[in-house]
Formats: sequence, C-alpha cells, structure tokens
Amino acid sequence: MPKLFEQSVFWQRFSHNRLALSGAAIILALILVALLAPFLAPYDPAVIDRAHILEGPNLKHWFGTDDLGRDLLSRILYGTQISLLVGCLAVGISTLIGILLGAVAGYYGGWIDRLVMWGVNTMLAIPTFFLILAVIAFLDPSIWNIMAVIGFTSWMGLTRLVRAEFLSLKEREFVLAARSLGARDRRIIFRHVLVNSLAPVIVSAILGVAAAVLVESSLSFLGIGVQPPTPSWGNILTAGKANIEIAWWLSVFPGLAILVTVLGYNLLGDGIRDASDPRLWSGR
Amino acid sequence: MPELLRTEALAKHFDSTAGLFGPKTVVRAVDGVSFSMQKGEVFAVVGESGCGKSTLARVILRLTEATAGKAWFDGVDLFGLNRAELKALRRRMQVIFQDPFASLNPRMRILDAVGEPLVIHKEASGPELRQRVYSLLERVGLPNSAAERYPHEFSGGQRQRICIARAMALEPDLIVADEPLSALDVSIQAQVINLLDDLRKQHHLSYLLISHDLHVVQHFADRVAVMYLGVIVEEGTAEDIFNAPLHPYTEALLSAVPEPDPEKRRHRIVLPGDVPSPTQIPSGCRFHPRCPKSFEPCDKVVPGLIENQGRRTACHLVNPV
Repeated sequence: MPKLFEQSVFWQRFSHNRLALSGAAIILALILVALLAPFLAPYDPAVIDRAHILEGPNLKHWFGTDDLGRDLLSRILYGTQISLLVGCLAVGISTLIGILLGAVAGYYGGWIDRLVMWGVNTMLAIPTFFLILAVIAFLDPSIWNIMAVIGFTSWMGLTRLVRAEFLSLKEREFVLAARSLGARDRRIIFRHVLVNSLAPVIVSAILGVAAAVLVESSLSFLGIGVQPPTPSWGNILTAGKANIEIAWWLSVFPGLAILVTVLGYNLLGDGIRDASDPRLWSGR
Repeated sequence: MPELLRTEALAKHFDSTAGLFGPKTVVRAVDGVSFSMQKGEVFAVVGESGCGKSTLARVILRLTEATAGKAWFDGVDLFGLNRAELKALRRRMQVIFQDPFASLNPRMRILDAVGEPLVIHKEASGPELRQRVYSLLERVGLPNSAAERYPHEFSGGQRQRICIARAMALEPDLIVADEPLSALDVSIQAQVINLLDDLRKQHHLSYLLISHDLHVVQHFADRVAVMYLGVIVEEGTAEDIFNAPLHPYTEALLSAVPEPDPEKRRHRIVLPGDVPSPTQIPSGCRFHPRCPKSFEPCDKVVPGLIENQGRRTACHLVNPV
C-alpha cells in the first residue's frame, strides 16, 4: 500500500491540533447521525400534526415543530443524510474530473494543456452559482441532478491544483528514472506522480465538501434544490424565513446545523493540510 | 574494441518567449556534439555547470527529444525507433542521477523501486521478483531487510546504492551516470566509485559519466570530453587530457583542481567573466571572450574539432587556420 504521508509525523502533528481533532469529531458525528437517523429521530419527519403547529422547543419536541406540525429535530437529523450525500458525491464527481483533466494537462502539456486550461478559465469566468441556477431551471430538481450539477461546476480548482503538482513532479528524477526504465505513461501517472500529489488533493476535496454543502443548502433554500417533503436544511430554512417573527427555532436550528457542518469540514481539511505539509513543520 | 555509442552533430535547443509578445529566444544547450565511445569504456563528459552536459545525457537517454543530429547505440539509430523498439532498447541503457533523494519515489518501497524494471519488462513477479531484488541489493552491499523499507529511511550513500541496484536490474550495457557522486560526502564517494568500478568489471559495463569533479574523472575515466557552451572543445584519453591539456579552457579547468602536493602545484589560471548565456553564443570560437590566449582569428573563425594523434581539439592555437 502506498504511503500517503510520513505517517508517524503526520499523526503526531494531527493529534496535537485540537481544532483538527474537533473537526474530525464533528464529521464523524455527522456520519453516525446520517446512518442512524431512522433510529435517532423521535418522530417520522414527514408526518403532519395539525394539533401542534409552530410549537417552540419543549420536552416532546426538543427543537419545536414547523408550520405543518412536523418535528424539527427529526427533520434536521434526516437532513444530515441529504447534506452528506450531496457533499460527498458532488465532490466525488468534481475530484474525479479534476484529477483526470489536471493529470492529462500537466503530464502531456502542449495543446491538451492549453485546451484544458482554456476550459478551466472559461468556467471560472462564469459565476458558478448563476450557472447552476440556469442549469437547474432546465432539469428536474432532484437530489441526483443537484449533485451532478454541483460536481460538474466545481472541478476547476482541483484541476489547476493537480496540473501544478504534475508539472513539478514530472521533471523529478524518480519520474525520469521510471521513463528511462521504459515505464508506460499510465504507470508513471498513477504509480509515480499521482500518489505523490494525493495529500493536497485530499485536503482540497474535504474543503470542497464544505462548499458543496453550502451550495446545496442555498439551492434548497431558493426552492430549486431538494424538494419538500424531503427534509433538507435549506428547505427547512425556507419555512423558517416565512415565520421568522413568530418561530425563531425554524431558522436557528437548521442554520446551526449548516454552520457546524461547514466548520467541521474546514477544520478537518485545514488540520490535514497543516499536518501533511512539511513547510509548516518549522514550529517544532 | 567495438563501438557502443556514437553521436553526430547532436543538438538540443530550447525555445523560450519572454511574456506573451516578448522576443523569442533560443537556448542552445547542446549545439552540435559528435563523439564515439567504445564497449567497456568509461567515457567522461566534463565541464562547468550549464555547459549542456546533463542535457546531452538526457537526449541520449531519449528523455528529451533532440533538435537535430543523430545517435546510434550499438549500430541502432536511436531516433528512428518505434515505441516497442525504444522500450526494448531502454533495457540496455540505464541511468543514475545526481540527487539520490530525488531519484527514488518517496511512496515506493525499495522492493517495488528496485523491482520496477523487472515488472515493466515482465521479467519476474511474485516470489521470483523478491529473490531477484534480494540478489541485486546484495550486489550493491545492502541487506535483504532493506526491501521492505521506504527511501526516507536511508542515507544518501545507501540511496545511491539503491539507484545503482535499480539501474543494474536489467543487466544493461551502458549506464549513463549524471553526476552520480556530487551529492555525496567524500568518504561515501569513494565507496560508490569502487562499487561502480567493481560492477563494471563483473558485468562488462560501459559508463557515460557526466561530471564536473575532475578528481573522480581522472581516476575513473578512460576517455574524457571537455564541453564548453554546448560543444566539445577537447577530447582524448584521460591520461593525455590530464597530463598535457591542449585547449586553453581545459588548462584553466585543470588548474582549478586542488593539488595537495605543493611541489606539483600548477599556476592557477583564472578566467575573466562568466560563462556567456547559451542564448547569446559568441562569434568564432565560443571561448574567445574569456580565453587568455585568444588572437586574431578567434573571434571570427569557428575552430573545427580536429583529430590529431588519437585526440581531438577545437582551437586555432593547436590547429592553425
């Protein structure tokens, strides 16, 4: 198995970074909540209860109820599934595209490189959020379409990163040695160059999940993302906005959920970057 | 002795443009190099950094494409090969680089690094591969246990041994050694040079040694070519070159070698100025702006590399116009 980091140093530094550890704890907790949502949720998130509309937090409904009497805690717990799924799959798509395009552009150079970088710059010149809005307007607003659209509009940063790594690594002597041994391009790209650029790619992907979670919430908030009755933090906020003067809990709790999630990914990503980058080891 | 490698007017130019609309400049790293080396020979190419000797090595190894010129390896045209032929030829021609820290993939175990040539050329796999790697490690004086470890666990000298083991895996005819010693401590240099010498005797190897360390070259090389600004200015047996240099540049290079015996100490020739940029090659003899002996034809007439009594020199003093 190839080693991703200088393991002992990496773990030593990572485990001494409290922020990074709390980020990891948050993400771990989110994964558990998403998996165990059916067991953790006290109510069915879709059951409408007209007798208990817009109740504030109380012993029966810890986070209160919404305008249809649904239990807010249960809806937020189930919303975790959506945010995790969208975040991971969207980033999966963009990471795959980024690695492929970046590797090809950086390794081969020439007109392929120019074409890819032209595509990257063109995509970067278009405001991504409006592009997503425009595309979603033509598509069915299903969760799968949202994931695909987010993934296909957020690969540019990673492409640039991977290309830059390839540009510098392909001139390294161990790569030249492999070429003079007669290794084929595929072997050099995967076994020699890619494994040595994985650490920054992983960091960038984790930070990308945070961005994707935000985009999904925004789209759902605007009503073109995940559609009700499927609970998503974004569409719960929409209901919160309508009742913000009489039911603060409908805005605060989903808002906190988004905040904590994004914070968790960012802390984890930063922590991994700090622990894996030898240039930041000067402190000790 | 039969010929192993021959080049004819080999050139490698790099184009570079300053900015989007800036003037285009051509860096003439290697600018017409012809030489021939025999089987079993240690052929050294020496010169200051930037004279094009490493680029020459890379062109011969087909790591970068030549701009012009021809090269033959054991009679085979190096630049007229298809992919399969090139791959087959690569078995016979291996490389050792200067920096043993950069020439091993940090994420690959030694077993995989040294075994990689055998895997690429489908020579061995599984337990047989492991046995072959063990015997290669033994040849360069490393224990079997090294196979399971990663490059960062080794010292510079050990890593260079690992690189030599990798280069030996396919039993090549020629090893191109690009400054194989200059990153190592002096005490380790001696060990590695002895190892290279032993391997040469046992396996009938030839070395194309790229170096700026004249001490090493003097003791190890059979023939020496001196490069200046992309061309060979003098070539001959190591004995001739070191005992009686003919080209003023060679003289200056040799005078810079520290000599421990004060009786033998030569007069140090200090060249004025720096090596000119390979984008602006001086007219006539490339060395004339810095040459202490330059005279009338030097800035106008390009001196040919003319053979005389088994050695070649490109200088108007030696070969009057």
